[in-house]
Amino acid sequence: MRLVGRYKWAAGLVVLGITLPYWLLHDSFWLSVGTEALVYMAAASAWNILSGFGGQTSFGNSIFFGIGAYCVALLPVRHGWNPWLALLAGAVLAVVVSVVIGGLMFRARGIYFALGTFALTLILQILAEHYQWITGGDVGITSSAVSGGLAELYMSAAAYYYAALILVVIVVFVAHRVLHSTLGLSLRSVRDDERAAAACGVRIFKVKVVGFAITAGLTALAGGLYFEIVGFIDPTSAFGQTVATEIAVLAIVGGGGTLAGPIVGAVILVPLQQALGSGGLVALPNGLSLVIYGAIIVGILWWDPRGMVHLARAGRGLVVSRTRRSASEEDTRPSGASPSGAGHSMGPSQASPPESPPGRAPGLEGETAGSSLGEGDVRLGRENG
Amino acid sequence: MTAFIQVIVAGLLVGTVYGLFSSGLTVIFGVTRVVNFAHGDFVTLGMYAAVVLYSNYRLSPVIGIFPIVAGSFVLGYVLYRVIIQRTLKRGNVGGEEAQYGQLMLTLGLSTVIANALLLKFGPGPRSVQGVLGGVYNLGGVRVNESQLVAFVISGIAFAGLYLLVEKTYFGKAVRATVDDREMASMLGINIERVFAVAFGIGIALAGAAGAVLTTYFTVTPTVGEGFLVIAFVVVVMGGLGNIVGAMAAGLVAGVIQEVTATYVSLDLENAAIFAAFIIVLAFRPNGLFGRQVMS
Repeated sequence: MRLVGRYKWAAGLVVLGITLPYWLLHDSFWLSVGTEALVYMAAASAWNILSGFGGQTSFGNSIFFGIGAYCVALLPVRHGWNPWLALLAGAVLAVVVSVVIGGLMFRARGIYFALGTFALTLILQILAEHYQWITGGDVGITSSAVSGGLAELYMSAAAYYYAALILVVIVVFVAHRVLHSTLGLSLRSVRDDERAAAACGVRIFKVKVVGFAITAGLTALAGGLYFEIVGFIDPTSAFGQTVATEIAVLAIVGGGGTLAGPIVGAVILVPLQQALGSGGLVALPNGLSLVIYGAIIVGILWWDPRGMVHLARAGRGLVVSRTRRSASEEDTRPSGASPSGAGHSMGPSQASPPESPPGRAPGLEGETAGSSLGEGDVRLGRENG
Repeated sequence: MTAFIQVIVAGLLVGTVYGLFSSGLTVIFGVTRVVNFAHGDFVTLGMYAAVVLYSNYRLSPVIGIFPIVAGSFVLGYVLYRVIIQRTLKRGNVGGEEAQYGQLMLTLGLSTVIANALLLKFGPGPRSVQGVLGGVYNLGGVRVNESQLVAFVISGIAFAGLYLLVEKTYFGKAVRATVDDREMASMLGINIERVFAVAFGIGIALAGAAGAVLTTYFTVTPTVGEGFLVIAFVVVVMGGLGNIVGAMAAGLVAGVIQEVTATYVSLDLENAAIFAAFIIVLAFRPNGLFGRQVMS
């Protein structure tokens, strides 16, 4: 019953996504907003695999986004590749790069890893601006300049929308499979307590690298598709600060670590930003739109730092009893007394047991592990310190 | 040789200012564990405040720094109490689970501040012109008066911070809170107040750095992005929470930047700092100066 119910939701969402252009996204503005939301949804869902499930928050996924975009922009022109092949090549290159970065950066934990990946993507931005003979520098690459290769790829706006939708389905499916596999369980155990996970036999480094590689490959696909849709890429829109943080913002504000979080985040925040921005519904003075957007994000996180999914859940919790919720949830976060808040100070007792059967882990294991801990959050100060 | 010394001196002069706002970021992180993505924008805010004080009241940034520091402190204190405090302790949401939410919250705050400045002042560059325009020649090494003043003021402000943390009763409470929150709380330290004051001090240091920077650095609403990234790099290189480390790493960053700009390429100056940062992270994940926190 549970499984049927869950897939009903997924099927419903897919049907909604397919039919959306016919009853809501009539004009080209909203169709392009919808397409952009889907591309970012894919990138945010991919981010979620390493950073949400595995807790290794990355602010550098624009590295892979940019690699994907530049591969699709450059390979067809310089070497006459088929654009779809270039898309795949971007994914492969991103996986290779992620393994190198992982080897370098996974010694650093928590916020150090986040800031390290952030610095890496900014280095790539600066290098892309510096080596103009490869990237075209600040001028960027437009797909009209990319003659031949992409011309055959020319599609209608609706076709781009469906291409993005297919990508989202692929990414969310992969995320779902990962979440319910041994890898997903290992990732979550690493997130909750790295030392305890290691003690239970989880090969931490390998788990992180594999998670990172999956995230990187999928993000590169999103980046490649982004270039095909928008038709323009420059160092800032590939590797810049805004892309780097946007991917993480959508996932975290939506609800990091849950399958639904990045989807909710992209569905709500991308259209919001576009509607407020220039060319949107309202003509706001320069700057005000982002003031409002930023204030909304601050407001959401002020209300619940775990994101919108938890906001919605809190509302629903008033109606549905806790036991029923924990049985029907796709949530990977422990919904009880928040054991992950206890950090390293609580010792190995609270790790998710890696040997429990993969299929039934979400929602269940957190409830039991959390109840015995109580107020973990007070000692947080010692983490990282 | 004189040319090389010139480069090093220029690096040290700008590095002191980096060290100053970075020590603000490190105080905030060390005490409250909040990673403040809006830190660079508080530097920008300090810069605009100095510009306004100068253009409206003819107040030189050397004097204007006092109201700016006071205002920044109050702003930081209030922001902490109103917005951030709530996210640190809320029902059953653990701190670590909320950490990235907090981080995104400060990122949202950064968007709000930068764009509010854009709304108010427009995208064009602003600066304080006509103060501290002198150039000194010290044995062949040219030093701008404005940079020298910024250096001295940053040094004084940093010394003040150091004495505050090391020598005062409040500093003792801060260090106790950093060491062990629970125990500090049990001993009667009002840790929420310590957090709020520490946040205020961190923002005040950012404001002070902004005020001295305006004498030789033009300001636009988005300059904060650059400062933020430099501050992150400096703070991690110095060891998160280590104020002396932050100042030392600030000097290192300034020198790396100037040397790269002179001998490699101007547009790669920040790439060199970031590369140094990656190397430090990969080989000394706890910073150049180890783990010690505020002591």
